[in-house]
Amino acid sequence: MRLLRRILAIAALAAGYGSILIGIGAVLMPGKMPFLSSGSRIVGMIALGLVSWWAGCRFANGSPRSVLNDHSRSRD
Amino acid sequence: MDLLLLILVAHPFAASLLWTSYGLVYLLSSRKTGSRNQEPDFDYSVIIPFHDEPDGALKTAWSLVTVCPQPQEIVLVDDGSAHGMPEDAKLPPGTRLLRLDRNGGKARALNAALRTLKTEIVVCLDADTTAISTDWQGMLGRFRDPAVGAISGKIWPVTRRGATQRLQQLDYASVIGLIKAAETTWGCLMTVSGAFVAFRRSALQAIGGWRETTATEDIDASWRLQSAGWRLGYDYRWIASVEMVPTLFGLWRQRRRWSMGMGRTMRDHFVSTLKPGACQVPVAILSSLNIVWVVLTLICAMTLVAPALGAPHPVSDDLVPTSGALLEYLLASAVLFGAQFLCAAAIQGRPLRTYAVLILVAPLYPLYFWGILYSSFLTGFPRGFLRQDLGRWRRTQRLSDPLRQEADA
Repeated sequence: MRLLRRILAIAALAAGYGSILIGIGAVLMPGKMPFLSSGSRIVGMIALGLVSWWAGCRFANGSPRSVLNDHSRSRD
Repeated sequence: MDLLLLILVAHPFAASLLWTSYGLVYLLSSRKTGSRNQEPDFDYSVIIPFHDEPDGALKTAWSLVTVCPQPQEIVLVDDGSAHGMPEDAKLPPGTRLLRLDRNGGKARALNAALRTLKTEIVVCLDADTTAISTDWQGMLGRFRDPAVGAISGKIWPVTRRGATQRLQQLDYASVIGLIKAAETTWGCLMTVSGAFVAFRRSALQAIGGWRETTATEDIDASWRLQSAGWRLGYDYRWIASVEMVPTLFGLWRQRRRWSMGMGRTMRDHFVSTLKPGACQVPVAILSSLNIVWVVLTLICAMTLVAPALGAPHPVSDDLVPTSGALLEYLLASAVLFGAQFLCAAAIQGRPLRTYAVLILVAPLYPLYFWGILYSSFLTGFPRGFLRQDLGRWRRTQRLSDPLRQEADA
């Protein structure tokens, strides 16, 4: 199960980064990515990449909430 | 070929977009935190290692007297200084001086102090660091999660003169803090800030303490902790100031040392990223891509320079950017990196007027990047990758150094 999570994490992170790279590439190198010809498709591709990266982080490390919050409230 | 070209052109933008987006997520998530109580969570101790910098170490120790809750103990570790702490130096209450007989490096000094401490949390400060935050309760509260192994504080850069220090301030304000914030939302850190960090003592003991044969004990400890499954985080409300390096050469040497440490860490701990339970997968992937990008830019530069040296033109003309494409690239850079700067400024939490001077030096940032960061990486990373460090203290240059050298003469 842990191995599967690790594989899923790496795959999602790679897919996330790749989507963002392609989306930005479509902006910077017009004509190189004919399937991303409209602005909305480019934005969608980048958004998909960000979500996929997030999913990869969650597969790898679970929720980051414990280090984001200082837990002071939980003791009150 | 197209993939490599894509990475070459778009990687800095992709990395910036990831940091900015998740920096915003960090900002929104961490503000949800509730009110803080004043009851101490854990006892903690402070270690301040130094070498030939007794005044700085004393100043750092005295900056802790207003901190709440107070540390159980402050340990000043003199790592074989030629100019050590004077016998009559006035130490803050609860401070102990530990003298080591020879210069064995920062990691050895930290390990020597760690062996004498009993508290569960150990805070490490460099001798050029001054605590700004007086409420350390929030930082201590994060250790209530038993998986948290270390919390990195926010470094606020202190500048006194010159563009060199201003550029570092820009770097800290718009890049370094933002990256740590974004990485925290990913559940890992590339590295804690060795100048201002709190560790869980049992986590450090579990990995055998700081390693003494690396140029950067903080990067090494960060990767080993995360390989062992410990979580690291960044607390943007736990703040200390650090004096920036005053000269270009001093800065280049500091950054080369960081790159050497990175090279060593990648060599020794990259494979452990694949171990079940290791936390640093996202930063390991992004670090690898950064290295790929550096290599690609080097190859690109060589192929562009080759014709000038009489070699046949190795790239086709349609790969050479037109002036229109370059303008578009610059415009996209200004938009995205401007957004990154604004997001980073929001995380820093200072009024925007604080950044007015930084906007003036911002056009110099490309020179700083290529002249200092890039070149120091090119020389430092392979050196660290291939060679073990001697474990000697390399003091970062300070503004007061020329004055002291004159006094010694």
